[in-house]
Amino acid sequence: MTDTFTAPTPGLAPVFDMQVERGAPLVVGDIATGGRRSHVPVTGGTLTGLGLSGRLTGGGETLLERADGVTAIEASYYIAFADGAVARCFGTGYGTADGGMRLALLFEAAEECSVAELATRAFLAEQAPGSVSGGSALLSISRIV
Amino acid sequence: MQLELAMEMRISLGTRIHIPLAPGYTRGAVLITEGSFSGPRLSGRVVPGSGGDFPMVRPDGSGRFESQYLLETDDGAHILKRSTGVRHATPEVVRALLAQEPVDPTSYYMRMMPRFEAPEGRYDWMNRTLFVGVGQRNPTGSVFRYWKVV
Repeated sequence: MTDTFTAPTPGLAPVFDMQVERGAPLVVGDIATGGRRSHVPVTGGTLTGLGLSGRLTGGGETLLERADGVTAIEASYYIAFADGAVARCFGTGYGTADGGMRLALLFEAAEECSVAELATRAFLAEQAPGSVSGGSALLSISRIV
Repeated sequence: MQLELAMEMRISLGTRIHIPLAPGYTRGAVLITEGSFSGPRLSGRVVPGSGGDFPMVRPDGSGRFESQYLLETDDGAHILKRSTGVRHATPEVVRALLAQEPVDPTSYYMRMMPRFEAPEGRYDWMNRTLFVGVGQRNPTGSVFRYWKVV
């Protein structure tokens, strides 16, 4: 086991601000497999950064408040750009004890479109507790470099 | 957010299976025969026969990874590891990777985002923590390093 590890050490480069507008939650309730399931629809918002500017046109955050007290989140955000390109941003993460959240995210986009490169990288997002105002919150998205 | 090294994992790879789903789309299955991991807060082995890596490989160099297997810590806890990842590389690098030739690990982008299910107790911080991983292939198998997001 003397192999040298030469793969790059990853880092985080802040690239996008995503303002998310959220609608009223749909509560499924306490489910048989454990935890309390609910869904928060995305009703609007913006994605800006890297010279891009898009509008959030749909998606949602599906929550499971688990028995261990942790909220597990599955998120998807559909983003429309001015030139007609559409991307889907999706991933999973956790609520934080102070009321924020963190997500690990990937993108999907049509292979020949202007934002196709988004699908070739991995990202992390953080919603700071103080960024929530009414139904609006700011997710700071970093590219994993 | 910052990254803090959580563990290094070394695995030996066994059977490789390719499922040609459609022209240009292949699902691979790379089964793990054995492995070990070590870090500041946990160490142990990969449970033999508990899973593997299942990459979706495209000829243009892009790929997505799905993996699932079990870890067993030195003090006997079992932890389910599931991971999603992305790779982006030139077609030449992908060809060399698939042929298991030596490839400079800095010549392509590959990042994993594992999730863990650990029992209540000393490892349950893993159930609420995001992780980032990178890996490289060596003649004897693969080596991964995982950082926790703090």
